[in-house]
Amino acid sequence: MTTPTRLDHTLPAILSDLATGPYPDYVDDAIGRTSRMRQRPAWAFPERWLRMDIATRVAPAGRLPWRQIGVLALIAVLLAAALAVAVGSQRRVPNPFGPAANGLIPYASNGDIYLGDPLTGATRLLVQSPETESGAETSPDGTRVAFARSVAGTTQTDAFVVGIEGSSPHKITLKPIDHLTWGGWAPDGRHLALVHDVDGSAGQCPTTICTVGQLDLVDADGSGHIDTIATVRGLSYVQFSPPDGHRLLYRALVEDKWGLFEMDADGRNVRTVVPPTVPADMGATFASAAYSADGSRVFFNQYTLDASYGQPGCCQLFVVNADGTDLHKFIPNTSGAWDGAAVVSPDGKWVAFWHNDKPAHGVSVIRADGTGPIVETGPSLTGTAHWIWAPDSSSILMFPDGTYSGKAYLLDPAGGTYKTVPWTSSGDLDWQRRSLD
Amino acid sequence: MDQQALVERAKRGDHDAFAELVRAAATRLDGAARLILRDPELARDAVQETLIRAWRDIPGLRDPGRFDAWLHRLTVNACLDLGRRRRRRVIEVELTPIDAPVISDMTNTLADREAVDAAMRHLDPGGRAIVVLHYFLGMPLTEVAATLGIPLGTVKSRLHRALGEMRIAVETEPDTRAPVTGGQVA
Repeated sequence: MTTPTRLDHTLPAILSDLATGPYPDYVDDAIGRTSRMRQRPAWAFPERWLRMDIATRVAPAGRLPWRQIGVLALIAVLLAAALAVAVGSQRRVPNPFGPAANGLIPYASNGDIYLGDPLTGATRLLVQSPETESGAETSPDGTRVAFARSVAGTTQTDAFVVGIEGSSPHKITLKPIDHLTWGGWAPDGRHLALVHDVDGSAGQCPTTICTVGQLDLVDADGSGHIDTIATVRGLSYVQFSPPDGHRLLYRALVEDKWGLFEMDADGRNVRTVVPPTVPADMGATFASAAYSADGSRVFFNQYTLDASYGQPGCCQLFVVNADGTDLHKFIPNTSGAWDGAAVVSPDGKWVAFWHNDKPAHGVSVIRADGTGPIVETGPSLTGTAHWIWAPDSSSILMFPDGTYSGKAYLLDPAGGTYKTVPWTSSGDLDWQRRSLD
Repeated sequence: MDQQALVERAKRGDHDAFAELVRAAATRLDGAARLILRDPELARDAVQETLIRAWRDIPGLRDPGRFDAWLHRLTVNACLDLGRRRRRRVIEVELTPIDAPVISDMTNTLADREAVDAAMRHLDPGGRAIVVLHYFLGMPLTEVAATLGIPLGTVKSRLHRALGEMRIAVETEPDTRAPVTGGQVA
């Protein structure tokens, strides 16, 4: 039996015991105070009654000169169309992999989706509804944003896509997905890859991470077409391989051991990258595997009992060729540091990774070939964190797990000064890619 | 009278109905707040704030059947807001590894109420909120995600980390009873 299983079984009773107490004597006083307070009238909650598209629509007011407005609007439409054609014909979009120019940062706050400009600090609301939106991620070409919307009172989620300017919001899932655990754009920009627990598996799982996951590719255009690519025990994410996205990297449980695997993007030709040898309860193993910028290598953190790697346990950062050869430890130290969670810069030159080397714990950066110094950057942290690179590789957007201030950090990969973004968010990280031209 | 009928009445301004609703939930909310904040006085403040917000905003509650989940959400948010306001400094505290290899003593240690109590103190309020929502209030993880406004995957990973940190805190309890410097909100 694993430790998480024991926790699962014992925590409810122990927490109930810890929380047991007499009826709180202050409650009646508080209730008495509310009796003297006014409620917000129901009409003050329009978002709770109106659909998003209605709630965000500006209502016309008063009697207007429609003829003049119509003529002006027609002129404006023609001008806008001409402008759009002119601009559109010249428009360039970034490649799905590699360096790009920095755009806006999508984020979720209080259940709605916003876009923030890291240069000016300006923010704007992108999606608002009575339900809870999260997981905003810009498309590889930077023109659209995918996000998830929870179905209230259920374990289900709908996936949506909206234009980066707020245009054409549409649901891409015909019916809600139960137990959605991960989502991301396919490099072609025409599909969303969604991983969800298969119905009925959650209750059979001894830990929260070993359920049977299913990978679906869902058309982003709203047609509702879904291709089920694979159903895998322990599947919790996939990574598309640069430069073409033709391969998928994923971890899986095989006979209760974690292994790292590749398959073609259509689910065929499964190949072993790292054989399954790590016990299932070492769930951080392979939890953040990532391709190198050219797709030839894979970085991953793994539990190890080999003391020669430094601190036995979880985890150390390794690298392996995508064909499974030349597996070796990536970070050259034996100090007992906890290393892992590698994220490769879009220009392919750097790897940002978690480096828990006392007394400093946080994000560190090293060259992608493993040479050179380990550069610690950003604040020391009380807990773990997650991060992504700016599309131009000039900075790292990091969000500390736990509460903190609810603000992401912008870190200097060279170890210089860092700052927080001016908005608070729920912690999902993404950064719009724009053409370098 | 069933809860939904009481909620409907409270939405229409019936204060007696509101009082009946929150009295039924008070012990549960107080317990959850004490678990999250680890401070009875702060928990009291959080629950009082919750009740005020609940009375003020209940007309906007669209689904009366979701009253409990809504009240839990208000409570957790009040706890986290209070925690943030109380925080003196947020960084420079030692991190413990997520998955230590030694787990053999957990079976006996976790059975000890005091050890779990101490272990909870090592979690940040956000981590405690997830543990409390899931294990104390019995929320499915998807509902925890909705309540906290974070993705399900994030909830799972944070819960996994929280359980790992609790385990390590339990294991290292004799060494960690000294005050945490520059620390987290406890």
